[in-house]
Amino acid sequence: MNNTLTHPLVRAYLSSVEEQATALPGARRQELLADLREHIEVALAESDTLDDNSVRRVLEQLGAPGEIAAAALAEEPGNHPVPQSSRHTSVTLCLAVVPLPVALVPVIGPFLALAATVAALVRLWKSPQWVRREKRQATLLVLSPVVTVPALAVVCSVVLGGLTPIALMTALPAAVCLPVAAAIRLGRSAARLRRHLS
Amino acid sequence: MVDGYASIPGVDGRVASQLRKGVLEYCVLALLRDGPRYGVELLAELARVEVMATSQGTIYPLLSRLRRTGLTDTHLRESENGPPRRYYTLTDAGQSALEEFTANWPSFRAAVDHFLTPGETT
Repeated sequence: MNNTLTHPLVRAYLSSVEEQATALPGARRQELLADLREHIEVALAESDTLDDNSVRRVLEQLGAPGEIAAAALAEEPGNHPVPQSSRHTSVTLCLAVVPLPVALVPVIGPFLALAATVAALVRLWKSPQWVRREKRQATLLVLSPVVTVPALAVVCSVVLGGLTPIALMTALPAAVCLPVAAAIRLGRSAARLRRHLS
Repeated sequence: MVDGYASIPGVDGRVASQLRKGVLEYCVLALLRDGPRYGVELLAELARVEVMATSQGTIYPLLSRLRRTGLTDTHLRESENGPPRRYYTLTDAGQSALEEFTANWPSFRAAVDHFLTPGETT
């Protein structure tokens, strides 16, 4: 009976719930997953048959992972995330990604980059659609080029023998990955919220 | 693929879901009045009544809050068939929350009917 939890459909379902519930505090998310695991085990133990169809039926009755995550978030006191328009969200996410490319513009580049970073972080922290934990993670990722660009430049110059333009051109796209990852995570979480709560 | 698990059609209109929100926890407490029940049993019982039917998984966050706020208590009981079941019981606090709701409900229901019935408010 223990193997019901290793069924591919069950695993995919539970990891989808886990992914969609990232805005929940960790302990609450683990509790939700434990409750769902127990439910699936019991429901399948009571099922007459134990094939893919009965697994599918049990999961269908449990409902959409996003809906369950939204219900769990709604139970959290206080800071309920409130969806914002996709245009507002896109502007915030663009501002989070552009500083590094913009910094390459001669003379005014660094100032524009600084302004975009400040604007992105202000919009991020003022937005009601993300929880504190998401904002903290995103802030670290957005600011990461401050550390990753020099570090990668050093690594590249050691590998390529000297701080060449090529070393810099390799370091910059690599460093932009982390802000882009932050923007993708925030964008997904915002889109989920719009889908389930608006 | 996984997102293909849809809401139960027909019973998930906005009005129905708003109404359910306020009363569902008292329906759960009422189901525990006559003795402990385990999660799957509780959800099956709720699903039997159409307006209370909702995606079962969305009830677990509610059950978790009832545990946390001390309105219910849980214990595991072995079963001959599969894993142990987590039984929910009504605590004294849960009992009095249910009594309070039960006392308030008739006048609440009458008040809503009063506004909804044509000619009643003139």
